[in-house]
Amino acid sequence: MASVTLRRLSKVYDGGVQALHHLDLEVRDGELLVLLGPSGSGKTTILRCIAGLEEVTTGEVVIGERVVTNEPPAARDVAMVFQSPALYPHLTVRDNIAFPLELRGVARTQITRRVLEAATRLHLERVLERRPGQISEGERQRAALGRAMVRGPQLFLLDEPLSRLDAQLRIELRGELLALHRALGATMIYVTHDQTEAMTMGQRIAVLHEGRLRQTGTPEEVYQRPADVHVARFIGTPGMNVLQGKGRGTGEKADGGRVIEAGSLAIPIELTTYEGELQVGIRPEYVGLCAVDKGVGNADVLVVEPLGSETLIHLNAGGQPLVARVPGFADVRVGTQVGVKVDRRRLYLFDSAGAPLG
Amino acid sequence: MRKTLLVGAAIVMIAPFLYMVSVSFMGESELLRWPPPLFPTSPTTANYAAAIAALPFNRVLLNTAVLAGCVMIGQVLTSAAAGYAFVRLKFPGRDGTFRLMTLALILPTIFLVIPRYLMIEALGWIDTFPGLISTELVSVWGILFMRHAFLMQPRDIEDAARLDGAGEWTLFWQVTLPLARPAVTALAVLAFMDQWRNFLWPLMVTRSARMEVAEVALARLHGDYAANVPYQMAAAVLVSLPLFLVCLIASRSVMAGVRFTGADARL
Repeated sequence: MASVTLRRLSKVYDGGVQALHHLDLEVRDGELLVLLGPSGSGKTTILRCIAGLEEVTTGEVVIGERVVTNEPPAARDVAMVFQSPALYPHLTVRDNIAFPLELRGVARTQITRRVLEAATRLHLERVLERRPGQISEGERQRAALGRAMVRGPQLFLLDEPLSRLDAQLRIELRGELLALHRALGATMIYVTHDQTEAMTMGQRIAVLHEGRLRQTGTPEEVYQRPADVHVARFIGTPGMNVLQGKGRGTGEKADGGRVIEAGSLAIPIELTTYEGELQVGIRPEYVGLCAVDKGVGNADVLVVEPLGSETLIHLNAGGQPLVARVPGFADVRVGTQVGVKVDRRRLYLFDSAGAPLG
Repeated sequence: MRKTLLVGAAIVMIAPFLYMVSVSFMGESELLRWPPPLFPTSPTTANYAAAIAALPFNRVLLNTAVLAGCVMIGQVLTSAAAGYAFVRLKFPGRDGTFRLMTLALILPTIFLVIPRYLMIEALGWIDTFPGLISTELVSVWGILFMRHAFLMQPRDIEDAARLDGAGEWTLFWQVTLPLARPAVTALAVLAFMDQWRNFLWPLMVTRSARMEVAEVALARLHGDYAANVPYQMAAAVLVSLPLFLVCLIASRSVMAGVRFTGADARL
């Protein structure tokens, strides 16, 4: 197993699109790191650069102790699982899994043994003689995993391997992947745009936005202490509410302290040093509803989504969207006006560029 | 409405073929009646016996099979290799070469026949199999066809193979080419049929009866027995029979290949 280090990695595609901007990232030996970001944020490009499928424009890729920036994919000893299973459709599952071993000239008897081992671990024994077209989507993705693990690579790259599966299967395979990670002790880099998947799987999460690494940390860190407004918006289902506002007031008690005016809300804050444009973030669970004029302002109810254990209420606060998450079923009707209250201890303040304040 | 049109078109296309078969069983004088009969009144196989003797059937069939078979294999190999190179390999002048090559499609075959003939003559290959076959081994259309088939292949599979340790050669033989099997089959069948019906080039480059291929033999028969239509029809049925069989066996895979289902090969 091996660590992975990316140093000042940049990638500019032929058309001039810069997919990655001077990216630094360290993945520890044996770690499962999740690369999380919306589509087009450069996650897949990072994987492809590590794998050697994409040429790096500037910067370095280091796997273990070795600089592999200019090595061909086969020499890097990494395995990758793609969004599509990418199995060889003309070969049986057994031959698909055996393929990398055969190319490496491993002895027949050893191939048979190792293929069977991988197949047993992934519950594929029954479908070994079938072709990819004759097995289920879940089995195909397992077979792709088998092909990746059979040669015991130093590093696994997983590019949204579960995104094409249905919800039930996804949860099942997610568990199996975690078990596999524990059993093999392998270094894994897992790409996803699904932040639930990131939170449940990653030992650490690296959040990307527009080709830049915004934050790297444990799931708790990126949720509790987002490094900027992009991370704040992206992590959580739904993500953090971010209101555009303006700081106002003299800071004197008589004046009611400082206030942020955002849409129809006026939220008192304790920040004393900031005047002018800013952004205020608050997670949906810390937004509550109350009677009109009893909270920090009023808002119109746009959509009510009852989910059983909780209800999401989408509001319009003077032109600014706001989501409240309340437990159980909420007695609010679309089109009515409600009062909004916020937990002031749970506010996040960002400057107009999105960097955290205070 | 659409069905009626299709049935109509099918009848228009198949009727001459059926009539050819029908006439081939008629006596020589039967066709002289007016209106000409649709079916033979007393079917005879004598035309076939005579045609086989006159062709000579075995030799002509063998020559045509050698020509069509060699060209089929040659065109599949050159088209697949060149198509792959144009899609997947990076080399200087690639796109320029490709454009230049597609321009060759604009030229009518007849333009190329004379320079080709001069080359084959200079090589001393007139009236030999190398002369007959060598000029047909590369098909620009075939290269375009295979290039397109490779373009439609999912990139992930190729990437997976590279990571699995496959070099360019392994990738081509063990992954890309098997994946393009529908297209390869279609190209093979079309090349075979095309060469089976090749007339102009064999006519120019062969001289002796020993080297005669199907179409050329038919043309000679037409010259020799212009008045005896049933006789010519019997010969025509004989030489198109192998083609007919190939069509029957391969039509499905040709359709699959031409529709490029190779591209959505089930994963």
